[in-house]
Amino acid sequence: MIAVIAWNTFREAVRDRILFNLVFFALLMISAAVLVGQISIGIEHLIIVNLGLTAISLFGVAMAVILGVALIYKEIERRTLYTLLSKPVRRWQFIAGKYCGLCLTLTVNTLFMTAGLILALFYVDQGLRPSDLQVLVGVFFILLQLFLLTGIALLFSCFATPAVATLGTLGLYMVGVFSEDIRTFGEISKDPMMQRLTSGLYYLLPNFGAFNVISAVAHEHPIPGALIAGNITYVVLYVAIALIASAAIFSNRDLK
Amino acid sequence: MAVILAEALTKDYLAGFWRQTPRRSLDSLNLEVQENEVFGFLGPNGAGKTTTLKLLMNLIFPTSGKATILGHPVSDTRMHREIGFLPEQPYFYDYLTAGEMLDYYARMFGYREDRAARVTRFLERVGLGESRDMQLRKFSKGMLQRFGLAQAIIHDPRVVFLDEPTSGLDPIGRREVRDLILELKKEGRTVFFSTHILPDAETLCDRVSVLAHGKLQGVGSVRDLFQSHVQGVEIVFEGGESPGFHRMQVGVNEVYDAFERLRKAGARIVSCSEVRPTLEEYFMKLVSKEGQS
Amino acid sequence: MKPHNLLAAVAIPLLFCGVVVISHATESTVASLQPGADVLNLSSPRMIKAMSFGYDSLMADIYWTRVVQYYGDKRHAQGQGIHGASEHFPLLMPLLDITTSLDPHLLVAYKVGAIFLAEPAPRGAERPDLAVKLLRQAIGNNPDDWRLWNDLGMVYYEDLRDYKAASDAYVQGSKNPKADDWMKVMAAKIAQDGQSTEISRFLWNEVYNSSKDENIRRNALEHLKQLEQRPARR
Repeated sequence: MIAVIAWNTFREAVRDRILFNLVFFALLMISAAVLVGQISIGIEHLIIVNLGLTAISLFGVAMAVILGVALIYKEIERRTLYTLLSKPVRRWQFIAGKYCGLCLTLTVNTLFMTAGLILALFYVDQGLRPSDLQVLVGVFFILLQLFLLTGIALLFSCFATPAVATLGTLGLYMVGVFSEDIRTFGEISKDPMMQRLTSGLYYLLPNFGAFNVISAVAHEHPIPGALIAGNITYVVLYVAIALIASAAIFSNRDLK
Repeated sequence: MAVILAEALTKDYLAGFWRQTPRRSLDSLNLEVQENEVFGFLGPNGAGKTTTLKLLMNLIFPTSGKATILGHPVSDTRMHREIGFLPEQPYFYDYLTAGEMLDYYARMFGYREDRAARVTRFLERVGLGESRDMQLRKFSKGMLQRFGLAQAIIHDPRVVFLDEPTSGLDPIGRREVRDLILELKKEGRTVFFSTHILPDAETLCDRVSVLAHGKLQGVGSVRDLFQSHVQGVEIVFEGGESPGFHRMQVGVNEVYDAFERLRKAGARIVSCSEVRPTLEEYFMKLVSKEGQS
Repeated sequence: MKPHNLLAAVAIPLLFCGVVVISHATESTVASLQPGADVLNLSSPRMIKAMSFGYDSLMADIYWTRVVQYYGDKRHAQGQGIHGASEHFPLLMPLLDITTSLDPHLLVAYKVGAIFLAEPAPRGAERPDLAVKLLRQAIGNNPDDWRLWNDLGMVYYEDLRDYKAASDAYVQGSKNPKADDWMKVMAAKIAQDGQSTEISRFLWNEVYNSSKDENIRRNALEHLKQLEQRPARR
């Protein structure tokens, strides 16, 4: 049942023109990276990887937020749920299916953008280097980040309007990107209460900063396998939290 | 066994911004619907008909009371294999075609090899065979209503719930829906439909109930409520004391005396028919009684 | 309680525990992959000003926070005995340059920045010349603040031992009608006596009493304690 809903969510999302526009702009940005690289002698590869992965990340975040915040809200407002939930579909299956469908959409779009980046590297280096495999690791980390962000957007979508959900999701994303800095701030302050608070926030809020390996990938530093495994586990656990909470909220909700 | 059973089903909504006070939308509804019945659920706008249907479909949750369908609590999603639902003014995904959307619903019931054929059959049954590849956002209101019927019955449910199925349809569309409901009854299914179009209910229903201001005002078979109550006899005649056609209403026991008077006056009897109360009169009586109380 | 609510109530706290464990396990690996603390990707004040879309003041505050964090991180690393921690704060001046370019009236950045720059290692960058440069910028942008001349005079007096320049700074400061009278006195005393414990004690007391900033007061207190231990000399 989850697969049925997921596939339909993917099919519907793919027909939404905004996705094409975002992918197009990301590819444009990657092309621009090739031009910028040509005027930065000696570090073309670095620039392309940096700019390319940043473009994939930024546009991926935009897609995840735009699609995610309206995912459930739209179905409630437009009452498309009436015919769906009168079928033998449990509410938690609906949530899981919607989440998987959106993740599939993001994965396909990210793969398109990655193909553009690989092409750009191929063009600049007149071939691919073994170290270019690292780029795929960087993309994988971006995808993990997007899966986590989608879970959060979906959670907000279960109880908030798209505007509020967007603010909440982006707010958590920004805090998550700087969570390490927040904890360091607490350590410097030497106030035990502040230290506990910032430490608590570091661990409880989604730590998006831990997925940012763009710089390491650009400088061709290897990414430890332990980190890959750790981040996958982190995303699985955190997404499980978001989906269980979403299912609980949605299951308790009277539909208008 | 009652196919649909509601026991003291009540729903309160919280209204207001700062101090939320409960507003009762449905008050202790007790209802039983038997197998193979066509049951009409009548009421003016705002009576609580859609609330009742949403409670039965588990789209909203009761404040108190309970309901079962086919012996299962309404919260049991597995029972949804046996029921179909057409909401009022149904919405579907804009960018999918009729074929794709119906296929999506059919997948939810686990149909595999025969799914495509089933989708085609049901689209044709509701008169949408030619529109299979048209996106739903291009459908007219009537077409959407017919598509809604198709998705409600694609899995051959035992019980079908219809919320205002003929609303917004032209006379041809209404006739088609009425014919479909009669077909479903012939197939042995139970149909529960809400409407405020009384002639449809009078024609189709075995039993009706009237809901007003959240409370059940009356339930009974159409035959028992008024079809067996003859109020009088209406005689249409021509001529007599003045030229032209005239009508008069007399008591059942006064018919022959009336015929004799007319014969003596030289009038010609055109027709003679029983006068029975209409569903509309019954409905208005109940609704206005609740309004007064 | 409904089953899904019970599941959420039990599962979510357990999953969060898992999240905390995994975070803890990976944080050192994550830290090792981050760009080094001495990398400043954008170092042009003009570019940053352009990118702040008019929110210069806010950006200045954010950069000031970065200055404090940078200084704190370095001192923290020194305290932990981490390799490379004994370097002399190479990014301090660029960060201060950006901060004060974004907000030329952010006095705390000049005053505390000058302290961080002038202090001998390991407490500071040991660059009193850069501290002088920063304070002269401050004076140029805030001509009405006579206390900046005091700050400048302190750097010349304590760190550069250039008593003529220190005396000149106090003379310039005393010309401001709002300046306290002791500025003139200090100018004369320094010109006459040069280095003196009495003068140092007075100046640091003045710094301690006149500032509300914790960093400045702490620094002044440190210097006063050192003076207590020093035998009095002219």
